[in-house]
Amino acid sequence: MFKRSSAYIVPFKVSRNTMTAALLSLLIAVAQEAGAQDMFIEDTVNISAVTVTATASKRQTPYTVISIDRTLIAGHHENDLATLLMYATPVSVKRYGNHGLASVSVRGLPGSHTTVTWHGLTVNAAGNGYTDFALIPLHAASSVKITPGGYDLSDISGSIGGKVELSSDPLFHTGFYGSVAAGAGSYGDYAASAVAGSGGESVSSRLSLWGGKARNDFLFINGNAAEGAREERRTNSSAASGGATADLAFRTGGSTVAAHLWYNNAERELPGPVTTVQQDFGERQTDRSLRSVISYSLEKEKISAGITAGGTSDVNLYYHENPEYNGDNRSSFIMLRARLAYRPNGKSELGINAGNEYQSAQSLSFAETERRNIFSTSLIARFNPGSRVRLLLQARQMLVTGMVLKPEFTAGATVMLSPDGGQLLKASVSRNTRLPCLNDLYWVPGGNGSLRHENATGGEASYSYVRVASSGLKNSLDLVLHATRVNDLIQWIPGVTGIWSAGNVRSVNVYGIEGRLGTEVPVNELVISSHLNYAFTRTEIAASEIPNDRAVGKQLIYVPGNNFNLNLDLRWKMLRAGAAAVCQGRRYTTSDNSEWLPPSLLADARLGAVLPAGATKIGIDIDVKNIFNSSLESVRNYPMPLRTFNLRLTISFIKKNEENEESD
Amino acid sequence: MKNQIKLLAFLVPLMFISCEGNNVEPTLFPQGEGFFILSEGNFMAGNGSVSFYSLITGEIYNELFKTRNSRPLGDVPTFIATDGTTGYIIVNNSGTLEAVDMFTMKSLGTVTGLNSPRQMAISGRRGYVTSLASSELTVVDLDLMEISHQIDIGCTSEAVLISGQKLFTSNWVAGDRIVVVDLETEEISGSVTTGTEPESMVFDKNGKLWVLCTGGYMQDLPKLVRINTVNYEKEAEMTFGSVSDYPSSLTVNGSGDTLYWLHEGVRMMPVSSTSLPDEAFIASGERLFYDLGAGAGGRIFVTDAIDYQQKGDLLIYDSRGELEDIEQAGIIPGFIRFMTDW
Repeated sequence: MFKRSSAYIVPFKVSRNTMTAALLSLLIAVAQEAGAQDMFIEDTVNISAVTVTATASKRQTPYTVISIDRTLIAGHHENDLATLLMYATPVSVKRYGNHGLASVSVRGLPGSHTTVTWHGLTVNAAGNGYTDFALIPLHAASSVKITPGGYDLSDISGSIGGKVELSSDPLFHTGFYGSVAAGAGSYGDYAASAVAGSGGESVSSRLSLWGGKARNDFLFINGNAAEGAREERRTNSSAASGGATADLAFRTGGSTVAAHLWYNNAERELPGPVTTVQQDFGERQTDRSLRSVISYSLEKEKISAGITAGGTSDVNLYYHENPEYNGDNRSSFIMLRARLAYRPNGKSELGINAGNEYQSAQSLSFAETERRNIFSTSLIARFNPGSRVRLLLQARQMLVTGMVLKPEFTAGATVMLSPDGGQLLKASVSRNTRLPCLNDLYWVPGGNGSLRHENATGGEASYSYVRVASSGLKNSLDLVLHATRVNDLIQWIPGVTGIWSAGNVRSVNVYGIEGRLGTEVPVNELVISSHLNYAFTRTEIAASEIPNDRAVGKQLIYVPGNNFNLNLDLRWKMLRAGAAAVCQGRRYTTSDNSEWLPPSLLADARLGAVLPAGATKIGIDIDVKNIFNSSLESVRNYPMPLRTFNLRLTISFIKKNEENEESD
Repeated sequence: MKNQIKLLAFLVPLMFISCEGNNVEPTLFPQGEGFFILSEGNFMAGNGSVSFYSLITGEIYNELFKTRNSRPLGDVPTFIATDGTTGYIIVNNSGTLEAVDMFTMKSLGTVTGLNSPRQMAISGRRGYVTSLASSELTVVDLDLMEISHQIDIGCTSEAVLISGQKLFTSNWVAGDRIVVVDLETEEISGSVTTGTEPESMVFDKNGKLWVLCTGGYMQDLPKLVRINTVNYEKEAEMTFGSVSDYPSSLTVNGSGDTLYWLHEGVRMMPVSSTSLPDEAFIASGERLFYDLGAGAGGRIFVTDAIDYQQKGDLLIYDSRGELEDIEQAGIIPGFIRFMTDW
């Protein structure tokens, strides 16, 4: 039986004294990230209307950090984050149909184990712990970074699946730039966006607006229809969304102040599953979010420091043809964090992070508004005992309302096999924690106030190779072996009353191999680039408290054993073309692995041109998705469209002022 | 190479022999005494299934509908009504009613567009379908296999039974009564307030209607109520001890003299009893009992849904409550329909 106990939860009262004390203590805290010395290659890349030079490397970090190539981000500019990650990384995406809820599984753990941050602010809803990746347009960020596992302890709280970090770095010295784009595609799919910004010596500003709608009444094959397999049209599946981001940064000397705002609104009909018949319960959903972050960072000789404050408000409204099933879920975060790092010499660095996150959630299924406070502090030490060795130690202690938690740690080493750092061997071990979400604790019925946190212990070893030839040829290879044990996994299971409740019922062993291969080959004016990702992931249920559980020894549902994707891009003078493919192995849909979705292949192609006209560029692109017209499902009975087309027109310009031209 | 040619020469005629044939559909399960089990499947996954447990062979035969018809049955099958050798399977979340030949499991027709159907009772060539979401009973013309019309009963409905020209249906979710419909006029002829959330009901050997009320989730005390089907009066009302009790799945044996239901195991009570049993006849132990059926000779058949995401078990107990056998059924095995003399 589940136990519901709000008595364990001590509401956090925000008092002025507490806040003042916290602010003061955070202001003197120490930091690390900004102090990290990037020492490898520089990538010159194009994003939207501007060209920037960005330091690319997190390669020295002894655990895996994947920075998605910005050309890939630009290629998926009108897509959501789920689509980008599906094509460009070894994660697997689970999507309830086109425009439907999308979650991302990193290294074989469920989507609720993937944390998403935007400029350091947690994006996951406090209620269900999930992030709907279909609601995150790529307009909201110019940088996407993934850290598989829970190795990075610099955040306030952790995840054991992985972390997806979104940010938009300030662009100085760019002059004034802007772009407008409009696209139209199959099944009434229309999208438009506009970006305007400027980057001067000390000020960077950018405003992005976007909107789109889709009738989304696509054709699919119903293979289970009573009359035999037949083509049907999806119903109750339209979607519309819009939003805006605003970024402002000011720098002087070694200090930078930045502010970010993100508003998102999405209205979606929720098509039912296709279970011999296409079900339609008249469901629809509204998701609105407002996020804001303000940060200050300082880089001065041996010290780097930063302080970040932010807040988020999420509203999720659900409607059903039977109003009794309607839902109203609201959650919010307030976050304050600081970092300070000190580099006494060229060989070592010491840092401290401290932060507080106050969560609040209310729902028609909560007895009352539920709140939780998370305070954490983490220490970091970097040490280079030799010119080719980098050592890292991290530790974090969380203080959470109503829970007692053990400290988490990460230890790792990076060894440079070649003097230029082109070849690395890396290894890390880590022990980390994932907190139950508020729904797990307080949902009525079934929330369980006695839940324990999940904990994971694991490690990874990897080889990394990068080579940039003077000819412009770039090659990179990363091979990773990883293994993790997760205990006290939280799952919702039925009880004797038929009511589902949350419990720490299973443990899983996760192990696998990841490979990433990238190449860019310039041949005269032709540039060919390709990115390939492969992941073999085994997430095996190792132990269970469910009596007679035949799932023990089986793969966790919806985790593909094999996941492969390939992106190929060609650029020649004004023309550009590309192809992408995603191949997923069998995905089990029952815990005893008796049923599954078959292996799938999704392949797309695109062709475009950029026509220069002075400071203005006109781009025209046509995309063909699912070129093989495959009948695909990411979630059982939620079909994806057959072949679709999309045409997009982009007009961009950049005007550099004299100051910027001189500085260039 | 020579051997391969010889093998081919031997196999090719065999292929033709095996393709010749009669048009009799092969049986998927042995005919004779036994019972069908409906497995609900994962919610929204459309993988509900039909199994048959043969009391003659002592074995279970799974995935009968899908094997025969090369397509899944649908999402959450909850009930089988029978009329001779034709079965009518209610598929709740697909909103369908599948007519099948019970011998072969071949689909004979499908009614679609039902609003969250739960159970069905047959009178003449009409099927009366209850609804978890609608305040109307749906009347299905079983000859045409199409919806005929609706009867407004003013509340949602779950269990349904017919006695003579009277239809009794329970207002389960958030309800507290049994509604009686006169089948000649198709109008409400009465109602009986029972207890909170009457979930299941049976007729006993005396023609009395027994109704099991769960009490709702932590809401009221559950009750077992006996109703006179002539004057609609409550003749007996037995109250459980705690609001945290959650009895369900009332059933009766073939002779109609003993009631069984699930409540921390299997409870057994003669219809002549005036008080609830203190202890479970069969303790559930670590099992998650989901539904049950009472067979001849006092044998009890219980389903175990395990975690609701994998194939469940059929547990077979003898008349003393001793576990005889365990068979693997489909995902979330639930409703049991006995077949005798067929």
